[in-house]
Amino acid sequence: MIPSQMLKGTLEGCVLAVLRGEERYGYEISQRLEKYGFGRVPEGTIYPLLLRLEKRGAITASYRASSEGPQRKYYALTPQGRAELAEFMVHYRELTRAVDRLISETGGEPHAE
Amino acid sequence: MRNKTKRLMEENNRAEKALNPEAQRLLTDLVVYLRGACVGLWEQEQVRRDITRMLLDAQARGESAQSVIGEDPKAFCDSVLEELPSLSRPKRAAALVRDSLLAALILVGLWILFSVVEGLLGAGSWPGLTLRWGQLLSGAGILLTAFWLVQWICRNSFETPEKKGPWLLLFVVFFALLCLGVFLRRPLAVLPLPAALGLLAALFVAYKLLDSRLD
Repeated sequence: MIPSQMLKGTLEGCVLAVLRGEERYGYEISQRLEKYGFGRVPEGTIYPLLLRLEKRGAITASYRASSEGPQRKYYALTPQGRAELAEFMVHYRELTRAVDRLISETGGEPHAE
Repeated sequence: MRNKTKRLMEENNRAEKALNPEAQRLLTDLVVYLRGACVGLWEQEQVRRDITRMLLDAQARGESAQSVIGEDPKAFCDSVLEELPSLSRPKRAAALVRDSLLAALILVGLWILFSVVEGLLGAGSWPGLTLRWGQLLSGAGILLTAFWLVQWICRNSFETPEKKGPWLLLFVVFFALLCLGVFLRRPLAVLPLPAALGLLAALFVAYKLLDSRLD
């Protein structure tokens, strides 16, 4: 499981990426993240982040009826959100390249003793 | 309170009833904590709607409320509050005046009621209503203590029931204020009944006017 501190800086970008294909509601986003190997990310962790993205104009939200219960709040990427996602990907590649290089040049992954 | 906020609040009250007791308890704690924050009621109710729907959805899936909010509901609320716009100073002041007007309205109403009863029993300065120093000071004290108590409850909504509240202190303060109201009988002013009712009406109108422009 990825430590929450490590997840913090990247979760926003990952949520944007999850929304790239289609509109999704909170629980769906949480499920998608779990499917990609992020471990369990409760909706309570994602909700404030979605509020922030909405406030910034990176996503929009709309309520839609659901067959299983109350109306759900669906989130969709805006053009600004797409631009932010592209920017996130560039920065993330830079970060992973730098970390990969650092790890390989400092002796590779340490083995637990 | 504006109409759209009132409508949303009613909608949330209705939706909340469909939650199971565990989820209702958690939601109440969350809402009480949010009420103590410097955030507009409209924004609070929007968040309440979102959380209620998340909890109802989880309930339909057979999941617990805690699995939605996480292990630390206070941290959840703090992170939500970080994303909501804070009330400006003038709006905060206006909300305080509005709440004080409502409290004053109740206190003045009680004062008129007791003074009329006193007058009908042959005591006091009937047909005038006497406002005593003790009544004024105890009224102001009750108002301040009530505001403090509400803030205390909101700040501690996630504390376990084992945490001791300031109940003994409150009892002492309320008892002292009651004694002040009963025993400090020095008159401050005598108001004719129509003037007292006019004061009550003025407080009501001022409260309603301010309330319709806030939240």
